[in-house]
Amino acid sequence: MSERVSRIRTILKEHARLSRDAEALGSDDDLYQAGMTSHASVNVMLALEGAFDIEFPDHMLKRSVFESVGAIDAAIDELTTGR
Amino acid sequence: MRVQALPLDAATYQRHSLHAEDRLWVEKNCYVDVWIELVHALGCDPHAILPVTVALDFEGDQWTFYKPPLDELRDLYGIDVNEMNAWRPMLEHALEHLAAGKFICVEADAWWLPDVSGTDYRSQHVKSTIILADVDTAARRLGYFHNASYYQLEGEDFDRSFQLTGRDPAFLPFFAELVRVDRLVRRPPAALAALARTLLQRHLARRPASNPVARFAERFQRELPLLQAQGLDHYHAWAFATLRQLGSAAELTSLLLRWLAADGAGIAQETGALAPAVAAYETISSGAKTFILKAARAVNAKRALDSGAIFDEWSRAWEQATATLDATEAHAR
Repeated sequence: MSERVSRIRTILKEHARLSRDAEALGSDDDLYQAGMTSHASVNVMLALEGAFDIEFPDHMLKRSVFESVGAIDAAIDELTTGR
Repeated sequence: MRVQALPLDAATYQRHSLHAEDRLWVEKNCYVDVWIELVHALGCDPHAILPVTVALDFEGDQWTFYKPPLDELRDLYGIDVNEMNAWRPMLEHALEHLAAGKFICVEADAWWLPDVSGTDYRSQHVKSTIILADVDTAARRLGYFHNASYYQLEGEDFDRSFQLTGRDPAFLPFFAELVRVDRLVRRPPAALAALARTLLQRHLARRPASNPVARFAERFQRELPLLQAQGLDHYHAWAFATLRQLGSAAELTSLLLRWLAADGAGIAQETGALAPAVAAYETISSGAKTFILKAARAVNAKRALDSGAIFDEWSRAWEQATATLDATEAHAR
């Protein structure tokens, strides 16, 4: 597991209020199905922005970007590549 | 002893498409959510309860907490709702009425509702509306509608929800409604859509006299510093009262119009003369979804948010939707 994915899982553990262990989630497992509410997803977004020093552009402020560990990882990769 | 108003299994229950996971706003507000699911579970189409969304207004510190009017539940489906006099313990009421095929729509403390484990369950005392459908006293188990689906609770959650243990002498009974379905009417899709269209015209006529989005924009811009001072927990409550009601209602209106365009037989892709209104409501709905996150960032970081262009777009969308519906519904009459 990459360091980035590990940090994403830690943030999910702290903010997503999942009904399952964030460490045990598959990359494509649906976080909303795992219990993340839209309320919690706001806190997840803010924590991700703070941890990775990024700002999700408007077109990324949608449900699908935050729906799985893999989707979040891909979005952060897109925002940080070339730094 | 087990009494069921409807034979449902929480493990296999299929929620209605208005609550599908790919909706922008899966949950709307607790009251309209339980009605969508109860109507669906009774074998009727809940799209017809949605015309009320077109009259949504901004009330200063909140958008309309929209609910299906009770007379419309009766006219559309033959469902009869009256306040229930909660003079006995709620469990006794439930055993009486569920056995007679009636439901009880009642406020509950979300602290004891395990379906909201991501928010309030065992963490916050928050009032929410549920519909009681299945009570098993021996198993201490309750089947209930809440938010977007049908669930089951048991054990301590059962005891505390029915005030069987830990009774507080200062506890006042929650507001409850008795729901009778013995005169239920399952109309053919086209007949139900025709009735809903009449209701749409009724609610369109009582829409806000001035643009509510413009009033909301003015209030938000004035209130942002206060939101920033009060922090994220307060923001979440504010967003539920405002952006969630606006955004979810707009999504429901767009789906209602697509359903009307299909004469009640599904969700139309091509909506003809209604298309500009559908697009306008979708603009507001998706815009509000994005804005919840943008405003959270501005509140959390205590920084400025240039919201003028966003609100202008929604404001124009509201005007466009209203003008379109005025034209199509005058023509439809």
